[in-house]
Amino acid sequence: MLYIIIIILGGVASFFLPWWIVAPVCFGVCFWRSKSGKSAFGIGSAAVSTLWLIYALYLYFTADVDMLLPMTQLISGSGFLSTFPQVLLGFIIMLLIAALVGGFSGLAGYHTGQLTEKE
Amino acid sequence: MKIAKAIGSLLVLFGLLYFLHVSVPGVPALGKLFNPFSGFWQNTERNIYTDEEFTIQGLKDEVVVKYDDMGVPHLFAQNDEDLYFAQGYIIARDRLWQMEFYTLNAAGRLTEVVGEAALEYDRYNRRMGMAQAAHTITEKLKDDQLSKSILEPYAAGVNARISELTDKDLPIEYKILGYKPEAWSVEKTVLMLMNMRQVLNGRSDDYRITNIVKKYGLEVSKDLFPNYPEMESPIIPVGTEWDFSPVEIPQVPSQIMANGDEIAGLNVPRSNPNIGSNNWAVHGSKSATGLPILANDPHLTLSLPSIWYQMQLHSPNVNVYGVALPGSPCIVIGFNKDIAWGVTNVGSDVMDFYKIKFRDNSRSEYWYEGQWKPITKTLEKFKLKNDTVMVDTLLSTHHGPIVYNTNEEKNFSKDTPAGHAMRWVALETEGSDILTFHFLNRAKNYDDYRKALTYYVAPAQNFIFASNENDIAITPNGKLPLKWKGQGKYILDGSLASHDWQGWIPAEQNPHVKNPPRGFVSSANQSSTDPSYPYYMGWKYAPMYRGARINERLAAMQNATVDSLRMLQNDNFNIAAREILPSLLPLLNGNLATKNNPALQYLNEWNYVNNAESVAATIFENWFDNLETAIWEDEFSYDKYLMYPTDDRMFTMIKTQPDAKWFDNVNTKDKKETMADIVTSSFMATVDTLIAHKGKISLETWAWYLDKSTDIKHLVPQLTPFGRMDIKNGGGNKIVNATTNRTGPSWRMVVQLDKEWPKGYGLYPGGQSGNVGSKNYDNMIDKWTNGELNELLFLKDINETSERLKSTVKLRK
Repeated sequence: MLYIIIIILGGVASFFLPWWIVAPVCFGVCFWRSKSGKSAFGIGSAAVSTLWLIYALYLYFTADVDMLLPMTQLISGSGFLSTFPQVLLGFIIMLLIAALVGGFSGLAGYHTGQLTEKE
Repeated sequence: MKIAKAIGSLLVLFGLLYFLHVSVPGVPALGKLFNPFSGFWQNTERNIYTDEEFTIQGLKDEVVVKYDDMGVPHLFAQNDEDLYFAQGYIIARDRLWQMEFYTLNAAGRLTEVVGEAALEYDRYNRRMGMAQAAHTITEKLKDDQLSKSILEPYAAGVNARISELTDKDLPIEYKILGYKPEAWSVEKTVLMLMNMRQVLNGRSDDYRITNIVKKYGLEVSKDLFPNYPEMESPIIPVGTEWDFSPVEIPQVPSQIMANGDEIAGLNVPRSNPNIGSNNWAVHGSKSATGLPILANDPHLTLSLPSIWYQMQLHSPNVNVYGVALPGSPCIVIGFNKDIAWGVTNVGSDVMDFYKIKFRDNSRSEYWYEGQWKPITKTLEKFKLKNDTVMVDTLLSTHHGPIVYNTNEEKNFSKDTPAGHAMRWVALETEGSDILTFHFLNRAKNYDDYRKALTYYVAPAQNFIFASNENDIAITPNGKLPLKWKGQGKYILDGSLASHDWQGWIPAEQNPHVKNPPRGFVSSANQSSTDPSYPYYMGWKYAPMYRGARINERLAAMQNATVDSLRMLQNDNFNIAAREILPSLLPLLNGNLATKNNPALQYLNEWNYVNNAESVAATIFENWFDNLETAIWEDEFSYDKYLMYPTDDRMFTMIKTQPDAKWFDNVNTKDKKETMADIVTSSFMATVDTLIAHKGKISLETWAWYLDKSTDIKHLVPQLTPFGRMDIKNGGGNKIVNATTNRTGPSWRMVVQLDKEWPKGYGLYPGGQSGNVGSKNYDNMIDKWTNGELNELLFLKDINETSERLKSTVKLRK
């Protein structure tokens, strides 16, 4: 349930507000209601990853030109990372960012929420 | 414990968000860049040809923009102000980042977007005085009503586009480098044009050749660096009569250069033989249609986004098609119903240096005509990416800025002398270059063309012209300083009034020819005229190769068509090889050490064509460079602030002075090398190096295109994946098809004039869009590589239909 709420709220907010708006959304939802740090982290990271992945896949497959490739190549440079399949790596980079942002927002929301709970 | 966990997790979160949101030089903000809601994903394009309507404040009437299948916009406005407004708006839709980047470059402000790495480069550009000159020009243009009515609407149009942009719409480069566009202004357009002045006029060999005089004496300099080459095919045909009485030409003073024996090392780039251009026009007497055909291909450093932007501009007063420079209004190279025109660079000497004697170390005064004159000091502030500000003091004399200060300078040794002021045409603040293009866009005939040229200042260009009245003409045009013969070849004495520039060659007396008997006009940056022209313009132009080849092909051509001129643009014949190999190869064929070398067989059998697959071209081009080095490096090293004599002088020496002392390598103490020794050893060294790099000689690995390796890089070369590497084509820097590793034809155009309606063809190595996520970013490169041209869609009026028109965008007031 929390997972769906984050996706919907986060998705709507992201269309109008800066990209990091998903962080306060996860934070707020997990502050409001989450079972444990672990689950808050998991739900936050899964929700943001899902949201970003769905929208990115849509943009990727409808685009005239594959822009993910040069963007990932830019990050990879000519080093170790350039040996991986670049498009896959690009999605992984994005998912890693989404997971970390969502996860830590949820975790921080949970822990901050704990401060208001009575012993 | 709970508090610690809460604070700890919040700190991690904020740290993470900060890291993902703020870019530092070299590392983009990954969160900003990779999230799908505002990151690069938003720069992907789909359904680009959709009809749209925008309401835009600032327009007087509606403007209709029709996009064709190449993404070229055709603008239909109801008055000129709206036309320029819409031009600014539409270019900014495709090229905003690029146009601002040029202005930051010219203004010496790259530190603000890339950080301290650009500081030395910025400092150099500011010391050149371009930002100050641009500011003064802008102030003066405020009194020029016509220029204002072009430049201000254009700026307003760009700003209308900028104001529409939210973070997610920003061009990708802003997202990667982490900054936002500033408001556009007339001054930015002037800076953009300043950028072109620098690219085309901003190089000098003055201090190098002065050092040669200091080291070897004036006679050697006169012998090895003559004022006119042995082989030449000048732009104004030999025998053209000068139809004017020249103004008084200043007498050559007794002292022609600055005194002193020290070797100077100025921080100024040396002349670049790779930047040049071709243009020509054949008269109706030589064409299949009976009316002129005109061709132009300006060679510049190839880049993505492309240097040029194609568009058609239509209002009740004008209907013109061609290419504009992003950031500047009007069409720069193009055609209308009646005329076509194009440009190549004039290689005249318009940048001179003056040795300055300071009164003392405070550098507050300098010696001029028997008295101390004050130095003007201005402070230049450099903002770094982290908002730190650095300050530099610029010194200026009546000649112009001091471009070089000792001690502070990092690039040169401390014992080189201080104080050289620069007089540079790029810093001229009179006139309005843009009016030349405004009037050329509207020109109907030869007289209109001549009048349009009078407004032009710099960088001087060979303006070529053809009309459907069967006139062809060419004019090396721009403000050209009136000099005594040889003035400014060497570093001048900044204390002598006789060394100042003496005024200007009257504009109507700039070299010029109309309808010459040979039936064609042409230019390829070679000497503007032969020595019969009464004024001195400079001593060194581009080598004659391209010009000579174009002229011999055009002289032989009858019934010329668009296709024959297109093929000439792609001509890969190597005149240098034809001129010099017959003198060199016998030396190798007669030498036991080389005569059986397979590389030599390639050269013996070569047809002198630098085609993509040619192995001989690879051998020749590498050998040519090595031969030059072998002959000159020991005595004329660029590293020692000297310079090599021209190819032309080297050819004369090889052909007629085989015993010249310069063949000897002075670094070998006990041996005196002959010309044959140098020719043989440089050839063998070349082959050895090629084998070491490419393996055994073969058609696959030694092909010329692999060796030349033409790359079209992004304007920020570090954005490697945004460029197109290893283009497979022929050519070279001595070739009409002048593609080198980084430079080449940045726009190819051929226009067939017609009484009814002209036919234009053209393309550039890139595309209309500046967005790497657009299919129109690099869609013309393959055709360009193959030497093909696109037919240009030049609409008669707003009602003309064409299957090639894909979408209509209406800009409503």
